[in-house]
Amino acid sequence: MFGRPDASSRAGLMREALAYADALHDFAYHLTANATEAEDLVQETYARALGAAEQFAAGSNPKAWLFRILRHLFIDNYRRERSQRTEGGLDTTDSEAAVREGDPTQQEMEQGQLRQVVGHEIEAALMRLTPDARLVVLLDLQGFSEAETASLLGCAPGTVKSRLFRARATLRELRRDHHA
Amino acid sequence: MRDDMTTCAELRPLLRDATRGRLDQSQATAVTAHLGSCAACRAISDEERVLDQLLEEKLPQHPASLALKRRLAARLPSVDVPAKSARSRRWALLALPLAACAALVLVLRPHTDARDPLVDEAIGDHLRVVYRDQPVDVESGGPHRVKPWFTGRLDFAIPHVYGGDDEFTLVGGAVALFHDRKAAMLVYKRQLHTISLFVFPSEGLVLPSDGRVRQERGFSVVLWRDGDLGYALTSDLNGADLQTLARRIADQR
Repeated sequence: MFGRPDASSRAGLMREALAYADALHDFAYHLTANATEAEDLVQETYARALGAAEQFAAGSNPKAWLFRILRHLFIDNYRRERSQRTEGGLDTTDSEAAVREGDPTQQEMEQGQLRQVVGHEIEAALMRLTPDARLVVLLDLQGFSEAETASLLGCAPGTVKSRLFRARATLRELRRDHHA
Repeated sequence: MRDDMTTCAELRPLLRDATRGRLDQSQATAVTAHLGSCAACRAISDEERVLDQLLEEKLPQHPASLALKRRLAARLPSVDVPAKSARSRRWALLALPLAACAALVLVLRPHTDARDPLVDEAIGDHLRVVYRDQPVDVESGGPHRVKPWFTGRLDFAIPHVYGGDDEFTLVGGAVALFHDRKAAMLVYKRQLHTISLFVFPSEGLVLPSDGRVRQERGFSVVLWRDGDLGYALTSDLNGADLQTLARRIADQR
């Protein structure tokens, strides 16, 4: 009864985790704005998840668990990069360090692809947020409740609520500025 | 005026919860009343809705590549196999913790089991859909292509196939099993989210009648009965969005 589980139950757990690969990759991409880094983050997430599998509590939410691991890895990488560059800060507001190069809006507008322009515009605005702000917006978009996000980020639900409120206000302002 | 400003400051952080349906009745009424009389908050509320629409419908999606999924899939089941190279050492090291985790799941599961077995069934079947390389046998060209495809493949007739809309795209269908019986399986997409709908004869099954969203293991499930048929709608979408789709499917009749 308490022995080693059979192969099918292990496979079931793995399959369940793998069902989130798309969502995790999308999350990773919007955190890093880099396809290679996103893939590395996702691969490392699965490696860490399985490595820490004994910490996974039965009945808890595996999706939240995987997102938590990915978020930790992203923060670790971010801090490592920051210490190498000695600039920016995770809690600073709208730092240029968080702004990725190559805003595609102008190029897309020249191509007249309205749908893509709108998509890139909102993506560019998202990328201008600080990593902390982007995290709460992306987790909200993934359908996590404030309580789940708070548990995932290790902060109070009230902090998530106010952070999300500020982040979305910034997004609205960025859109307004863009259209002004 | 000062009172109004205080009200604005208090209510604006609630606008997000209002659009997500997370407010209790009295808060929702207060928000609605305030929006009726405050143009500034109404403008913000409208902007919030547009922002939601942009994020949910226009934000470019970046799903995992097939190559990445194959790499993950190929490596994960190999944890039972002893590592033969330094490169695979890390994966091999994962076997023991994983075994511990799986054992934990097996041991603890009965204690947490106030769960509806049909919800578990729906999630298990949904995961099989998500993980199939080719989840559908007939691709959608709309409901008029998918519905006739089931004729002769099932021992019951499905009255309608919801053809999808701008928010929820019908991907296609296949014949599958739900619990112990044949079912029509339909797949919808919303952005990156896969949504599975199983339609099956409901005889002998206890299906809820409240249309409530059940949440288990990060998935949302809506089960309902309509005449002799049962419906199981499952996704990792948030509950409110899944319920919206459930309503549209149920309203098709």
